[in-house]
Amino acid sequence: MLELINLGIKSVFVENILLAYFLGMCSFLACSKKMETASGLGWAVIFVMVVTTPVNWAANQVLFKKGALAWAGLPDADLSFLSFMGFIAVIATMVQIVEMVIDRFSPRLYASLGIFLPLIAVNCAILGVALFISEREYSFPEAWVFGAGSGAGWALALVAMAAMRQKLGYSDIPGPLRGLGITMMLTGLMALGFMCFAGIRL
Amino acid sequence: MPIKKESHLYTFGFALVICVACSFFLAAVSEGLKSRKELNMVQDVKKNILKAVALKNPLPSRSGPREVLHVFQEKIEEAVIDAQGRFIAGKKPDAIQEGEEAYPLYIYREQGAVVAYAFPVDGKGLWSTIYGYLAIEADGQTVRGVTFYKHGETPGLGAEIEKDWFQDNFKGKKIWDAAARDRVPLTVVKGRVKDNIPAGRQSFYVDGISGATMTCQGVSEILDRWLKVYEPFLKTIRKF
Amino acid sequence: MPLGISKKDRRSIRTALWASNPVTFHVLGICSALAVTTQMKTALVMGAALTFVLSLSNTAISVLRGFIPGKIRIIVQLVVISTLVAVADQVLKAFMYDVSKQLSVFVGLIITNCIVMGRAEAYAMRNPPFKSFIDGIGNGLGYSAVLVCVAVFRELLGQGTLLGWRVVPEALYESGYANCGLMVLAPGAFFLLGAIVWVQRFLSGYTEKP
Repeated sequence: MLELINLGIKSVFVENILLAYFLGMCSFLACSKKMETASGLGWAVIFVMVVTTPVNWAANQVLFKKGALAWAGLPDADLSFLSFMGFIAVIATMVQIVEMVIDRFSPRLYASLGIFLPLIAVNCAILGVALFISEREYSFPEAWVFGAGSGAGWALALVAMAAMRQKLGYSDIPGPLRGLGITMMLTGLMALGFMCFAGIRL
Repeated sequence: MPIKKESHLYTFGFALVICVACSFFLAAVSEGLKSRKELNMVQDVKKNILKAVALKNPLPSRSGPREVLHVFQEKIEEAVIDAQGRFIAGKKPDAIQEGEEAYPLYIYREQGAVVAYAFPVDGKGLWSTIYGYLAIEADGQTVRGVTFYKHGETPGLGAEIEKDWFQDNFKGKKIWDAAARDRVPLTVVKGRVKDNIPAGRQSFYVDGISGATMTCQGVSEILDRWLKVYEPFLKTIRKF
Repeated sequence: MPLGISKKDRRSIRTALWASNPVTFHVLGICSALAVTTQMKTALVMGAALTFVLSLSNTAISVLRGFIPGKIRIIVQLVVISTLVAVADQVLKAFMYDVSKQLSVFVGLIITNCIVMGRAEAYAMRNPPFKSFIDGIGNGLGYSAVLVCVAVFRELLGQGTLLGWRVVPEALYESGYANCGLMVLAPGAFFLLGAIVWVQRFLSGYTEKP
């Protein structure tokens, strides 16, 4: 149990998927201009992470991993070369299904999250988590905690950055540094702050 | 016949053709490169063992997988010991089952004489499981070399354990106190050994990595745990 | 003219490298740009892998553009791209095992690299194969240029080496010089890329609208 908590804290703070592994930068930079967009996208990512990681984990276990096809009588088959395609297909499909389900059952939630869902299919953070899970050979609970934690960590960084950028609107920044340049530097400072969590041990 | 691009049938057909074509292409590439990839994976493990035992004639840095395998076959004998430190005859490390009380041992010989014994070590660092090999000289008292090849520690801090400067610190350190006739845990200190440890005991301690105290503590614990496991065997080779 | 590359093609490569560089101008594909740049070697291999994937995916999608049904356009692009990425990954595993271990998941992440999808959607869907190929090469090189640029600074300042060769002389270390540990860590990459964007935009005179 303690190990899972440890892993969760690690994936949210210390090895924040955005600040330590640089995953999901594109949508992070594009959607951190306004608070509402940022928190909407943040929730959507957490949601999709929680839903897709178990599916990807299962797909890896029963289809792609070396020797995973033993249940079908093919213990020697190694389909790991198909895993990239499989993961991205699972993510795209899950995002579509989630979109349809939300649209059907909660139009209000759809109105606030719906526009972000297609964006998420190509968010590298989600594919990154799937690949990390298969590379590090996490067990099911570990995979789930890691996925949810990474989603939460990503959303946290996104919302914090949106807050900073809103304040930044009042400051006088040199022309060429505006936008991408200053955002990068701020992200750097944030990453520096998050590194302090590395000293925590449970 | 005019093709209706937006008809359901065409869409399904197109998707099917693309998927099948891509899968076949990928399967062909993967199959074609399979033997090379497997060779790479096998030699990677052996390369790490060879690195830990610190070969007298080190491998050239650009040596290919075949050379690594060749040198490994020539110099290293694979054996398995039980919890009492006795050799299990005819057993190879690959045949060890999970949960079995059997431990792999790699024996490095140079012109027939044993130079070092190497064994795998693994355990928790700060964030991740660290994997490596530790090699002990034929006297059973001195570290010949160590390598850590897989871990998930903080890049730039804990991850320094995979660097040569850190691993080189272990060479020549003692795991046996000849005066007290007892084993000593090999410890990675905080900071430099020179500044922190009294002169007589410096050979039992290793320089730490600044900013990575927890990882270093993990390394000490891992090494000690496995040294305890292999102690019954090491006892048999010590001569006084 | 070598290989039949016209003046116009060369100009389009140059634009992709400088004025509308995919990373500094379009803000695309930064995700992996930072993770693999602690060393020049990994940055170069990553740049080559991306250029390979991008130019071929552009060509393939441009060839198929007349046949792809609009409804499943994105999925088809993803399938083509992920096939090429998987090929690149297999080749790396077979021939450059050490580098592929260092790059770990980041080769796979080329699939979601916005540059590849972005160019497929914005350029290859509307242009003939050869032009798309050139566009892919140009954007791939532009991406690699930024990658290598960041990597040079990070490896030189962080480890005192370039491509693994020691560049900073030992004498300098003995007189008190120390490697800048920050450069190897994640924040260093952010600061460097920020600074590079700043310099590049200052020189090319581009300012982002608020």
